[in-house]
Amino acid sequence: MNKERLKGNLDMLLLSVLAAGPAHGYAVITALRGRSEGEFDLPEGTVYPALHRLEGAGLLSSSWSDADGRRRRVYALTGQGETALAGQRTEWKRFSSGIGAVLGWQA
Amino acid sequence: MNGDPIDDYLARLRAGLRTPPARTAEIVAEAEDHLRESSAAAAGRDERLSGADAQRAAITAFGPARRVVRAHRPSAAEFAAAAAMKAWPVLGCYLLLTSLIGWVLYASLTPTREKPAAWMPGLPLALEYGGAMLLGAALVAGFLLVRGRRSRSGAGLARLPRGLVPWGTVIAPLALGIAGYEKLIERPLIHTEQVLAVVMQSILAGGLLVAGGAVWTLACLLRVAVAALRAVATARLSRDR
Repeated sequence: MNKERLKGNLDMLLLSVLAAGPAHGYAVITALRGRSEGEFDLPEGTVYPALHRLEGAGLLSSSWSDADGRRRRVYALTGQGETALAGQRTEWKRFSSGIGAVLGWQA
Repeated sequence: MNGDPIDDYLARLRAGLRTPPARTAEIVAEAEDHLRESSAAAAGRDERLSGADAQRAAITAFGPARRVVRAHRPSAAEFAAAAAMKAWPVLGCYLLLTSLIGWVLYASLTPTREKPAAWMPGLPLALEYGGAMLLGAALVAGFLLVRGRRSRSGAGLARLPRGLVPWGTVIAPLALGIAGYEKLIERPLIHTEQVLAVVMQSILAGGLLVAGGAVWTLACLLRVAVAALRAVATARLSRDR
């Protein structure tokens, strides 16, 4: 998978993973890899700035807890994030069906 | 380096991050949680892996520290804010010191009460030095106020690239000193010492700022004391004549 193309859609993918419920960074990255069947495999450390950026934009919220004697940051989708995700899903559906039409694929 | 690959990696990460201290601590804590969990998962998948090898596998998957540092790079606005907060007190102290030394030299170098050449034609020297002193004092007071507010709100500053602050505090005052010399060089100078004082003060202030604010303050006070003693000696000399 072209890494640049993945980076352009990373925000939507992270929001989508967190739509299933709050999770910490490692769980988000593992879920992303699992749900994409290994297709999406970015260097794990570079995903965190995207999570922080989404939190700064109000699409995610985070809280700290203790896990195994370590500090753990758990992210959750906000109402604003749900709205943004719904919009991005609609946009992606339109985009991918347009691409499919041009490439001659069945919808 | 303590032999624990994850601890060593986190130390490199902490040293490389340019984010404000509170954010750096959070990034490192999050990275540690991730790496420890990833390492445990790697060891669980392959029992043949040693503890250190599992940690190294987790670090490889996380990415090189340099790349992670680059991904967390503060914005240009954050860097500009940090540079401004560093330059602000330096400029204030520089103006205060320049005007103070100027006052002392003005007293010591004009025993005949001859009006010396001024920075700006038409503007009395007293007003120039007085204005610089007031501006310097206002800058320093303003900085202390803003710094107090930022401390109370917990807002931190991005870490500037290493070397920028020491080189900036040497080069900027030096440039100002040379500019002052250029400006005064064509005027009838009883102010040779004044020019030298401005240039010397710039180099010394800049160099000593690198060594620390306390040393710098002490050195400036020393120079003021020396200039005052010279003023007294000059006054006595002209009285005896």
